[in-house]
Amino acid sequence: MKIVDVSKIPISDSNAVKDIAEKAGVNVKDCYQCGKCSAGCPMTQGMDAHPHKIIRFMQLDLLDEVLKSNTPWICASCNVCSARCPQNVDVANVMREARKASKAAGYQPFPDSDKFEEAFLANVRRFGRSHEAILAAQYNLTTGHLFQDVPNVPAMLSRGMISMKISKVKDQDSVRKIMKKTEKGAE
Amino acid sequence: MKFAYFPGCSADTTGISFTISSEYVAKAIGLEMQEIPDWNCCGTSAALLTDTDLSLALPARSLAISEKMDPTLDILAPCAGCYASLKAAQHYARQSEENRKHIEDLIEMPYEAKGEVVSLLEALAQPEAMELIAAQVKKNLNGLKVASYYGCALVRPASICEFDDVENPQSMDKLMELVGASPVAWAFKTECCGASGQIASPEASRPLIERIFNNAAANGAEAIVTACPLCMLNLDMREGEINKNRADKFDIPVYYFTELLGLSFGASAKEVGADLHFHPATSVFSRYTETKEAPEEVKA
Repeated sequence: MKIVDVSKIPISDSNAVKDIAEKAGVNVKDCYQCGKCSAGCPMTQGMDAHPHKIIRFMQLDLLDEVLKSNTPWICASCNVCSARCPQNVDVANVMREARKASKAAGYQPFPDSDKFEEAFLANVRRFGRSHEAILAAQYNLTTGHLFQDVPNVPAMLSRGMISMKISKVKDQDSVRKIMKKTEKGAE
Repeated sequence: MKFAYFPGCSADTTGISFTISSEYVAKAIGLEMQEIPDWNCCGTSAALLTDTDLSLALPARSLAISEKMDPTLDILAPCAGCYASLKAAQHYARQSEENRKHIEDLIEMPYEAKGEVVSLLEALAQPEAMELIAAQVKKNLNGLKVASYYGCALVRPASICEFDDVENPQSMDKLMELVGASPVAWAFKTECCGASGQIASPEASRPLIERIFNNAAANGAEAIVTACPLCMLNLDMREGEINKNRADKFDIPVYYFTELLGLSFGASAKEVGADLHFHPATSVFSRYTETKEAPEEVKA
């Protein structure tokens, strides 16, 4: 077990952790570490710290432990943790905000996940809609998982699941404008 | 019954059977769906994980267009992901005048947040729609054992979704009972299918699918029924892959609830898109047809 001297945590860490909690709309002190969020989480297998531990790190102002953990990146956003918390801590929202903060700080503990979201939004920026085939191709190229799900392609084609016609928003400028206005960090 | 219709990006691709079967059922019961002109992607989790304002503004644009088209219409979103994004934006706008104005500033369009956002499951589980469905049943599904699988986005966050129980939802079970099927009691009704994690983190996510099939099988389900195109894709497309590593293979077809409603209305597998699945799904349909010949599946 790691020993932490809580009296020596820098103010900056404390403020950054507070910022994540505030954006997530939670008071981390509400959590009494019952572990119900982790018990119900379907993704714990791939996580380096279970969800209740991320909240614990935040209670202790351990910023680095939060930002470097892969947990917020593995999180599937299924919201089970938040639905079951007896103290109404929106754990899933903490995961989303921690992930954004981690990215902003330059950490990418789990880059594939990030590349997926980026490829998705690049599609929306281009067409106003998402195109699964283009998204999958872009994702495979940027992550180097060139052949992931490729065996499913012929079946998808014969079932008409890969549309040759690219459906686009006509007033694409209005979508781009929204994206430009809101995506502070992205591109 | 008339709704503004938000098809969503998967409507003519991976969710094609949902679109075909939804339109079949809607036509049969006289539910009118007027497509929102020039709708855009709802942003789904990609927007939510990037910027909160983006996750509100993308769906709000389509909601505002819908309002402009006809302010009296509620907005119907069959896809669970679209439903969740649209509903979250509407919920946010209704929380305060300040929020609503913030949305208007982001999209540069008026938005009053008047119309309700409803999922197709919610719309069809209303008493009025259930009566119309009951009147169309030509083939009782005769005790077909189904596991109603709701997934995440139709029930969570509970404060936003509201229409069904967060842990033990009933709407799909009620619809299945209405057409003669027997919903099984099982533990994975609202468990996550892994969503886009099946692409971004396959190692961590695959077990989620296997556990869902496992629990459905253990409780005697002959089929799993979904109301979400992503749940459908993750279960149906990956059942074969999961079977490769198992001695005890699953043979559980996965359906959209609208496909089974269509079946009870007398539709062929093709008429509701059940011939377009990855795991063969027409055998259940052939049980209810006079000719004992199994309809053709679309092969790879």
